[in-house]
Order: sequence, then structure tokens, then C-alpha cells
Amino acid sequence: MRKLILAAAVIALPTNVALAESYTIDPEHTFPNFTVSHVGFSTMHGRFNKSSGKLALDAAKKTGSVEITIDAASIDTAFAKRDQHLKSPDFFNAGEFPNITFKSTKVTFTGDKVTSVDGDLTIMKTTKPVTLTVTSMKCDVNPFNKKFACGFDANGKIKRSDFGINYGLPAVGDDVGLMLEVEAIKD
Amino acid sequence: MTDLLNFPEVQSFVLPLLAALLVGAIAHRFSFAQRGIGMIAGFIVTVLFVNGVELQPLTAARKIVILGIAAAIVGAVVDQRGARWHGRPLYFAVLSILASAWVMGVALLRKNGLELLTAGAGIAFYTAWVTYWLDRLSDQELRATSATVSLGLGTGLAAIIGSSALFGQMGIAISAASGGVLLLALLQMQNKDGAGCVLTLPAGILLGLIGCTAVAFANLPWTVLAILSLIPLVARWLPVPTHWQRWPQAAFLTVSTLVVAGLALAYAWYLAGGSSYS
Repeated sequence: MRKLILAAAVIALPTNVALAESYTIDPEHTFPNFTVSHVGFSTMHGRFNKSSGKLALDAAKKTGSVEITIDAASIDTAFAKRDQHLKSPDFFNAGEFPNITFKSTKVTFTGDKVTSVDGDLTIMKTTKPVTLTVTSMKCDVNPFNKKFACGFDANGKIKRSDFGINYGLPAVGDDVGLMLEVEAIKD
Repeated sequence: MTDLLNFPEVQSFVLPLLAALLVGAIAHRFSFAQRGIGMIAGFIVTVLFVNGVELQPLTAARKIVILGIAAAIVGAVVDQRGARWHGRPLYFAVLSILASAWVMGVALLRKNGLELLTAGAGIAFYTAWVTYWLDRLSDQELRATSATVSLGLGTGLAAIIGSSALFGQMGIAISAASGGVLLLALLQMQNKDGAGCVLTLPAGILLGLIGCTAVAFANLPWTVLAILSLIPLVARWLPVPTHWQRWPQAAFLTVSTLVVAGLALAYAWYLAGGSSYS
């Protein structure tokens, strides 16, 4: 009987995995961007230049998952001195906490489209739930490299103080806008 | 009032100075510790404003604070027992190396090969150097406090140039609090036991580690630390006419060591490209 259950499990496992298509994040087309108020004068834009991760999608079951790891030291605000400061212990402390991670907990579909991704964002060992609203998504063959890919744009909002990034508050804004541009190539 | 307490200048200069004056004066009056205890009191006040009381996640900065407080307790016990055993500075230097391993170990282990070796050796050496030479000054109150005023200011401002306001404020707080102890040394009766380990041990470990973390986690070139490392030596060997009053002696020692700090800062500023941002 035990052997029978085991055999059934072995047969069933590849079937389930096969339904969920697995993708690897394309670092050349995946950039987590952010915005933050600078003393109320203007909105500063920045992004992280290096990220990696996995994406899984099962359109039939309307399930999926996203895991992205961001290199904190790859922060880029188009001004080297500010980037150095942002990497320092005053902000992201990239020397001690080299990675920022996002792991989805729920992917919501409306019809055939993914409309939001709930997940846990971890910055400097502090994890908080974040909801990303997916504004566009496409899965198709990339005409340039002929590989099947999925991509999406998503945005969300966090408070940096929730993650212990308190330097410069309240002059430098607490509310941080997140805009993700993600592309992933099918494995 | 609350707005005033948010100013970095108040948090890392005015408050630690006042705390050091108050705690140091009380300690001296009631003889429960050397007045050098005012240094760690001032430092703690700044930390409470800058970092709060949170210990998680246990970052290098928070480990440094814990070690500073622990070192002050050890220093106070050593002072109370009048312990002046042979080789004490060397013993404290070894302790500071263990402290630096705890603070920097995780970040260091991400490096490999030669980089790991040079960074680890550099951090251990600088922390041990500062701890060793400051302990050698513990029985000379004016020289010890002049050294910690200048080394604290130099380390703090250099950390700010190296892009870390957090470590900058911590260093400046040690300088301001040491200034408070120095003022007490001039206003109160001379202390025959000197500044005591309660000042020199935590100052050595704190300033050694703050300097190293500013290099490792911010953007401070290690060559700036090489210049700052001369401060305890200048404070120890600078000839000061013994017939001078204590005020001019203190002023001479402090200005002389501040010149070394100034050189380090000018070099840091030059290496940083001579500009700032806001």
C-alpha cells in the first residue's frame, strides 16, 4: 500500500510542476525603481541596477509566484556621492545587508491577467508585507531572441521607516514609491 | 524643544557634553567612579537619540554601542580595583581584536582570499592600536582626554565625509563628551589616578571600531585612519612645559592633537573630491 502511494506521488509530481511554467528573471530588463520626496522640493528617482530571481506562472490554475533578489549596492540615483551615502549604514547598509528580497505570498488574477502581487519585502532583515499592483503584463515570444518570456510592470508603496531606514526623516520623505519593470525568460 | 532635540548638532555635541559634565561631576563628587565615566554617559545619550533602544537587527553600529558600554563597565571595575598589572594595554588590545571580529566578522567573511586577509588584519590592527595607546594614557588625564576629544572629532567628521552620518554623530559625541570630562578635569581637583580605564578603554574600542566600520561600510579611505592613529602618540609624547598651569597645558595638548585630526580631515576631504551634497 505504501509503495502504491509513493508511486502515485511520483507520477503526480511532474504533472503539477509541468503545469506551472518556470521563468528566470532577465537582469537586463528587470529594474526595481523607486521615488522619494526630497525635502518637498521635488521627487527623486532612483533604481537598483542588479537583480535576479524566479517567476512561476500557471495560467490554467491562476496561480503564480515571484521571487526577486536585489543587490542593495547597485543603487543608482545618477549621482555617485548620494549613491555612496545610500549604500552606507545611514540608509541601506549594503555592506552588512547586501540583498533586498521580495517573495510573493499571493498572486491575484482578474480574468486571464495578473492584477496584483502580495508579498514580503525584506530590507535589512526586516520583513513587511507589500502589495504590488500590476499595471501591464505580457507573455509571448520575444521577437529579438525568439525566447518565450513574460514581463510585467508593477507599482506599490512602502514607508522606509517601517524597515528602520530613518535617516533624514522627515525632510527626506518617508513614503517611497516602488515601480518594478520585470522580464523573465522561460526555463 | 522637541524640534531642538532633532538637530544633529544638539544630539551629538550639546547633549553628550552636558551629560558628561553632569555624570562626571557626580561621579567625582561621590567617588563611585572616575569622572571619565562621563564620556560613556554622553555617548549613550547621543545613541538614544540617533539609534533609539532597539537592538534588532543587530547591526555593526549596535554591536559597537554594546561593546562600548561593556568596555566602560570593565574599565570602571579595573579602576575601582586599582588594577595596573604589567601588560594591561596589550591585554586590552587583544580584547579589542576579539571585539572587532564580532562586529565585522559577518561582513568580512563575504570577502575572499587576500581581500579578507588584508581587511581583517587592518581592522584588527587599527582597533588594537587605538585601544593600546589610549590605555597607555589612562593615568594622564589631560593627555588622555585631549586625545579622545581630537580622535573622536577626527573620526566623526571623517566618517561624515566618508558618507556615514550615523558613525559621524557617534564619533563627535565621544569627542564632545570627552570635552566635558576635560572641562571637569580643569574645574575640579586634579585626579591623581588620571582619566582611568573607564574613559580610555571604551574610547579606544569605540573609536577604533567606528573608524573601521566607516572604512568598511561607508566610503572612508583607510589612509585617513593611518593619520588619525598618530593622535594618541602625539598626546603621549608631545613635550609640555611642566611649569605651565593646567589650562594652558590642556589647550596646548588639545590644539596639537586637533591639528593631526585636521590633517586627516583635509586629506579625507581631498580624497572625496572636495565637495559635499545635500
